[in-house]
Amino acid sequence: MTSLITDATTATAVDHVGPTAITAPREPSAAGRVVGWTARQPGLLLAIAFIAVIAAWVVVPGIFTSSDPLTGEVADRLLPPSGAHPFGTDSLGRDLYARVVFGAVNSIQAIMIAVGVALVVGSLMGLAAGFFGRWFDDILMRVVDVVLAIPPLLLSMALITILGYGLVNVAIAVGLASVANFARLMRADVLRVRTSLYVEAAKAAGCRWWTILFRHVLPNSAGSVVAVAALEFGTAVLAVSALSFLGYGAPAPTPEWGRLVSEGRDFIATAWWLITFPGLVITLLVLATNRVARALEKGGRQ
Amino acid sequence: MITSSLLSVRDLRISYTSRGVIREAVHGVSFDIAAGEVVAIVGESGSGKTTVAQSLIGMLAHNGAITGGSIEFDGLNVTRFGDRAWRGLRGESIGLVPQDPTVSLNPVMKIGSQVAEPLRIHRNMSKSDAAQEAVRILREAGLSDPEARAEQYPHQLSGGMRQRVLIGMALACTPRLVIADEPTSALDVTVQRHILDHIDELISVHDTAMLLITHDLAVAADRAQRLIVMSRGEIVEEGRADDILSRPGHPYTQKLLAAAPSLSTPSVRRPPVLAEGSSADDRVVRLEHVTKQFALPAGGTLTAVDDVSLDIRRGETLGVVGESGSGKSTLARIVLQLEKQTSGEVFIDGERMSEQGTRGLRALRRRMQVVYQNPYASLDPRYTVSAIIEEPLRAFRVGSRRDQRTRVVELLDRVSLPADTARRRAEELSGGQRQRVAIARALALSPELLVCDEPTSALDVSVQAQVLDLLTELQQDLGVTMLFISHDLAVVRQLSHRVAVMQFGVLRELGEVEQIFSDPTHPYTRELLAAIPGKELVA
Amino acid sequence: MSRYLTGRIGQAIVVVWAAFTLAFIILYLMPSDPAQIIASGGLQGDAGSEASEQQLDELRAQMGLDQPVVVQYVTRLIDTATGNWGTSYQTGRPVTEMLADNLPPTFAIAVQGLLIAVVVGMLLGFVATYTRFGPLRQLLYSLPSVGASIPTFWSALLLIQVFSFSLRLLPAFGNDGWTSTILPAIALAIPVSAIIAQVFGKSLRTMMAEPFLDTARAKGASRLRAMAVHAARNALLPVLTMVGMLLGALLSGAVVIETVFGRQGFGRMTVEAVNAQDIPVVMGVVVFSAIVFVVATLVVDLLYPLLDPRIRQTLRPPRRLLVKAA
Repeated sequence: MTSLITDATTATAVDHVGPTAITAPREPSAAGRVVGWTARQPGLLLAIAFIAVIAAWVVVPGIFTSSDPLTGEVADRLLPPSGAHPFGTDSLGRDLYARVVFGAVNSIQAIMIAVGVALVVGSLMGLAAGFFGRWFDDILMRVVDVVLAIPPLLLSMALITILGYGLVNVAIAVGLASVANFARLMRADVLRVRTSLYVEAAKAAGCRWWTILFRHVLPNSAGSVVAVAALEFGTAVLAVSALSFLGYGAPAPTPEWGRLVSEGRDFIATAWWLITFPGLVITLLVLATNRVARALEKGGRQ
Repeated sequence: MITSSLLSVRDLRISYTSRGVIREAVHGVSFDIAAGEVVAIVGESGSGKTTVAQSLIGMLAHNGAITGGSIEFDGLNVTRFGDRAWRGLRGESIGLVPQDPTVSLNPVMKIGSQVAEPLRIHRNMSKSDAAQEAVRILREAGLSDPEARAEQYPHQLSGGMRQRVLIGMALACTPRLVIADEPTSALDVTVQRHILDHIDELISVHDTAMLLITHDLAVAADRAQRLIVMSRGEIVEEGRADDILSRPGHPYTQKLLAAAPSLSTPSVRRPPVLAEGSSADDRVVRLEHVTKQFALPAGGTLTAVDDVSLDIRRGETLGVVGESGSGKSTLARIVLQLEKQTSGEVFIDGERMSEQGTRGLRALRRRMQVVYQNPYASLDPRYTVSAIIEEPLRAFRVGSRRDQRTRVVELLDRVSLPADTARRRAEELSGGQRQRVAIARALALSPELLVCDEPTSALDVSVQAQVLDLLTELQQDLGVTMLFISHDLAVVRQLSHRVAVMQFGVLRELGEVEQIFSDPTHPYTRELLAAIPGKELVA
Repeated sequence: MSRYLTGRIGQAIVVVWAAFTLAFIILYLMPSDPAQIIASGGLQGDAGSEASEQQLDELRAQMGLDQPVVVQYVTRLIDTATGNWGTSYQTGRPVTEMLADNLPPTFAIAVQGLLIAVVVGMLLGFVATYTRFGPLRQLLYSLPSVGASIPTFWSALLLIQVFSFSLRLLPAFGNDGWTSTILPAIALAIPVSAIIAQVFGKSLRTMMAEPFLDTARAKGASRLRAMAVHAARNALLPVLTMVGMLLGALLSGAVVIETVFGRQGFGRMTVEAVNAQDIPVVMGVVVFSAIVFVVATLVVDLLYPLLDPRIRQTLRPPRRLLVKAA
């Protein structure tokens, strides 16, 4: 409201003086504005910091713990959290913190594959449907409608029935099950941009369709897809961990977050830490990526 | 006069806070309104007029606050009123007629219940009593068959009818003051006049005072006894309506007056006189029995353009006037061949358009360009001004990169923008500047035909005047042929050689500009002319 | 209206048919050999017990897998349409019978879960928008996003830990008695109520900024009245369109929840079918969930006009609209 009023004021002010006097106050650079805006949001900063820690677990897990994630001392079995074992130990005496840290690479890899599959396949479908329109659009969108009618988890499970077990298969199944969202979003965005006045203006100016596609439609519709990709990341974390909790993911000794929770189930009455910590990491990661997704969405609109 | 004043505003200051930054939008405004008086605040967007109006009913945006001065209403100091105290006044003593009737009614509630609501709140009426009273109010508001209307939902009523509902609602408890914030700017001119007449009538019957907020000096002058001219948060001039119009004191008022198209005498701007004795084959555009129908989603068809035939000669400007839904914009799109006509034939430079393939059409795009109504939507926000203006040049591979650069600078100069605008992005520019960029882009290929679809209606009046000046200049210097679409007869008059009047897709009248204005033959044209506000003041 | 209804039902049938086709493509056309799967006893089967080629051929013939794809498709489509959803590889029982057995316990927790979710979600959304007390508003704003971020298997386990083992209030496992449904229902409701709170809250806030709300306030209506009378009903519409999706979320939630709580039901059956690569059952699950979605959406579409008069008009047979010629 305020910005509207003041913008209009400066705008008319300039027009009053006459067209020769355009000297707008120097705006800070785009990067500077993004940094400044982020710095004013403690929640967002925390979220980014948490994601950075997880990323470091993936790249260099060794510097975060000296314990071995795969072998443990039987004497140390089911120890509650302590200085030596911050998250406690499991039934084989393995350090849970080490298993969570080393599990990051498996979990994140699967999540990335899932988001990648959904993003690439879905966006291409939506782009094609929105840009070419007509019967192509009709058929593709009917397919999308049908996919949306089946709950994603059940669709993933149907795909796993055929693809078989394994973390990569779980990831592909999760990705394929979320294709529809991206396709719909991309299509809506392309349609919005395609029917916008500046695209018609480009058409009236004599631009060919590929110029319009690459210069106007794609750059203007990509923004919201990126924001949704970030949101999809959180959804994929939940879906992948749920499926590996159910036992479709990595085989036995491999640490993976969903699996860690499932391993802790047998000791739920005695060793609370076994389910609490891995679950907490998953929850925090989803919260953090959702927070970043919201910021991206907002940033995209401004 | 001050002793009997109903509303008394003293040194009012209002600030908005956004992202920790406080900006003052109203800088010490003082005025009075006596009981039964009609006062108008006139100003362009950003003048603070709406902010003042909102403060008078305690409905400032949540980030706005009164930071100084006082508001006294009917002997009460309401400056520091809380929401609960305001609730007693709103709808009861102060009524509000909002700006856009199409979005100001609850879409899922019956008209009758909405009109009855203030009575239920303030008069504690029973449901059935309030419903009866609502029907009476609707009848008084000038709606036919009020019993049936009360049972209808907002989407079943036209914009003008909805505004009548809102007026009735604002006056339901016979308040002492009505604030009307641009009550007709979203409506067609002919409807506008009826609505304003009706408000006048109702408030004089109930001896209600009215504060009219408007950007249109002509409307204000027509309706109010006293005018308050605001600019950038301050009152620049205040006085009796006819005094201000005949002897504007402040330079800003003078400028506003000169820029108001309906008030200025026709001789201010004139299109160049066409060369006489041109041959019969100089018609750039020829439409023969063009009809365009759209299939409606709910079934059936809408005939947007109905059997229109007309032509535009070289160097001529044809103005097309009509209200919303008249098909004038569709007509423009058909001329540009962005839309295919359902039947009939379009000739550009003698070439039959229905025979053109994609290639032929693209070649034609070089010769005709368009300037759109909304410069905020017609420029891709991601690109710099130079990239936008170069676009048609690059699309047709005209000249080397260096030539294109030179051409951009040339064009910017042509539309009176400094050369360094080229590096700026469209989103950094004001509306007027953007429209100049859009015109520069349209001129890049030196088109023979320029189609302007309401090029000034999204702009403030003073900016509008500058853009119209620019277009007149282009007519003179470049001899470009123009199709000029507008809802505003006064604007069309300044620029056109001939005028076409459209209604419901049908071409009602086509003639020389002077004939249309002095001797209209079709009743609809006469109705349009009569609806121009401020007409009597000039005559 | 009746023409609209038949058209709409036709559409629904087409979606179910398409879902069937999609499931068929995934489950029967992918490069995998159901006969092999049965012979080796599913995904968790013993890889060592290889069946002979002859045994496999017999199995294929028995299951109709030796016929051309088109014939298989048409046969299965007709069977499915006439109520024969095939036989489980695992149990040898008809799929429809298994669904009929396993749905009631799931229905019990899903209905409770949905009720909790609707009440909690709407209340959260409304109060978060109504309150002007900063800290409370902040808290109520962030609750739904937390609720949507918690994995259901984790929240279910935490509930068991707290209410069954620490407080010993409610049973942790099994299908016995109504008390056994409380924790699963709450666990199911958490993500669903989060979605409802988010959507309803967001649409309420949008409505609060609409000009017609200013009109209501200008009449002297209080903030509460303006919200409850004018904003809430309009804000409900986007929530209503999500019912199909919410039911889907409940069904897939049941998959995880029933595993955690060791309850028999639709979800548990699905997990067991996937484990055993029991293709007819998985197929039945997919088609059934599509039917649930389609029916829910159909019901919402039919109810929608009651809440939104703007839609009511388009339901009438097309009139010559906009004939306003002079």
